[in-house]
Amino acid sequence: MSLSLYGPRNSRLVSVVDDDESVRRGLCNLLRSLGYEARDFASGQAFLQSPHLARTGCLLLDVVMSGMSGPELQRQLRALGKNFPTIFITAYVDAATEESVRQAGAIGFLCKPFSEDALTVLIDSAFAEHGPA
Amino acid sequence: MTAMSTDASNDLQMAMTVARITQALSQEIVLENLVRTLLRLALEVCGAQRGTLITRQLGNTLRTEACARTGPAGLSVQMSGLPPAADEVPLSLLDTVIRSREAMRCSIDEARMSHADDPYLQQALPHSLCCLPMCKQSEVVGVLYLEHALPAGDAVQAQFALLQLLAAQAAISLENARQYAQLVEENALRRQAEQTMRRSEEWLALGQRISHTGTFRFNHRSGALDWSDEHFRIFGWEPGTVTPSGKLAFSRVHPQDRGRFAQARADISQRDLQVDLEFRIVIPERGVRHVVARGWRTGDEEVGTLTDVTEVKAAESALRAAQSDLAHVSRVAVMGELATSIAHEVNQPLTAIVTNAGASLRWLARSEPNLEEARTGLKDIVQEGQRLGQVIRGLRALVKKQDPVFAGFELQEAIEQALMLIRTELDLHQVIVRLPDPAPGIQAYGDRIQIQQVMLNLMLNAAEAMAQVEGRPRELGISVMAVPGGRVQVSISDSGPGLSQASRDRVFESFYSTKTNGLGMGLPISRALIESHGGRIWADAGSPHGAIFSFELPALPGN
Repeated sequence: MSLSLYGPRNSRLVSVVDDDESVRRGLCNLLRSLGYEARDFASGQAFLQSPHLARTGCLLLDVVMSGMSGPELQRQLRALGKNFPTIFITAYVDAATEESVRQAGAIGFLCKPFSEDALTVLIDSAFAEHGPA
Repeated sequence: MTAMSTDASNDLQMAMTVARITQALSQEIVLENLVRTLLRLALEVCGAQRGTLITRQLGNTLRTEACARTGPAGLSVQMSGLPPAADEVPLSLLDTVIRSREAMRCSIDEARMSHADDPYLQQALPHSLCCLPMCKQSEVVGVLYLEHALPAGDAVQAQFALLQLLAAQAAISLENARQYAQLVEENALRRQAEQTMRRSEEWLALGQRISHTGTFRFNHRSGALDWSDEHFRIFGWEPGTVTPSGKLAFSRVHPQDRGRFAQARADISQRDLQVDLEFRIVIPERGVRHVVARGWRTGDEEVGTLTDVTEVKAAESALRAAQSDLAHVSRVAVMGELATSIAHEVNQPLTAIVTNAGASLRWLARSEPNLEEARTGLKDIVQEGQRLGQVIRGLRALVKKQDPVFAGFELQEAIEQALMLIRTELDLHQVIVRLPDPAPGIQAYGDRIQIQQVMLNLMLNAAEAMAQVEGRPRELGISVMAVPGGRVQVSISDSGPGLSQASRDRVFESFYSTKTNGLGMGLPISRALIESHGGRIWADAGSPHGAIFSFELPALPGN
């Protein structure tokens, strides 16, 4: 079997990019309790410069952030050839944005606050389809 | 001319004429009537064709009272009032008569000889003339000048004697008439003065009534106290129904204001000190009235005014209420526009709470519960719950309808709270916020909610103004500083296209908007709010781009 497009086969790393610290902490706590490794980043730039970028198996990405927005980071990652499964999380409901990020390959679009089940289903599918068997 | 048969009949006729003259002249007291009668009688007595009555005025100037002429239609008298002219009477001859105080009677030829230079006498004239001085005591008060056709003779001698009698009587009557006229004039003047005074008193009373201002006057020496009518009314009495007294007035002063009222009374009795006092009066069945009094003392006299400002106060309070309502409506409208952003601010902590709760449950549900992780999650939940509470409280304060509460508050904190509500809005517009250097301790005095409303308006306007800016950062700058004179200033700048000078002058006017979809009420409301705080708001040009909106407020005293 070839290497996954999305990172090393053994990666269970979920990266969280959100400019709200408490949201990041809560998500990471939840992800760790679900058995994933979690890393959080306060901005798109921080994530792009991180050594964990390469290991990331799934990305939870906020839409509206000061500085670089979520969709903008998605564009830049695609341009870099980083096509790991991306789930958008937003507190700012906007159908047009959902449509465009899904077109660009997002596997989910969750509105804050979302249910745990909705999140776990998406993450599990990300790792089931693209991650290690 | 009547033919006279005997001396006896002459004497009788003469006596009758004298009686007639005396009676006629003594009856006339009005100057004009007297003059007419006098001339008529004079012309009748000597059968003259022309007669002129001239009086001497103060400063010895002459005045022609009237000219009479006998024509085909009878006697006509024309009143004059002008100085006699050289072509009307022989002035030099009059002068001689006035100086000599002696009547003159002569033929025209004799007159021409004695007064050769008089231009009047060169004209064609009737045969004879006579000129009689009218003397009161030894003073000449006038001259009667007559011209007639008949030659001088014995019959004329008698007429001349009559004329002299007439002149003497006329002098007395003229003087009486003149004094009467003077009296009439003085009366008229006094009446006019009285009328003027009455009218100005009426004006004053009307002015007092319209302006609800009464006056009072107290004499420290005599103890006399006067109130104007309006003063009575302000205290709830019909004018004149009670006797003014300090005690009486005091009895209607609001019990809570009596101490200040008594102090002001004591202060006024100091000389050269103006005392102002706002207090309340309680009038049975009419309730509480608000009045403003101002008094001072000069010498023994203490004077002052009292103005009923109840209506003014009610209007001011209604205006304040209306302004507060408008501000509230506008706040709610802004909150409506910000609903999505506000939902964002609520959803963030909610997300943290929900995720931490789920995580904590999992940590606890493990076969070997991870208490440390669970505790961390629960702590975060508590913290986020509090954060959520703050957002909700801030929102409720802005949306709640309440009267302004004036108090000291930290400007920096107020700005941060306002920013919290619009953070998402600013993020959406890609606006970078440059916060003030931390300036803790700068405290403004006012209603925090209303000032935050102004901040929100200015910040949202700034964000909107920058929506089209490309090629340079969209920067929202906020600065806070203390200004000399116990004031604080907040400035909010943007890097948008800026405002023209004309727009800067007009943006605070109602319904003036530079935005295509703006109603143009945000800035006028902001201005009304700032001004109701005793502050001011203005716009400047930014450098190199944009606009700067600033407002100034009173600082918390002692801060």
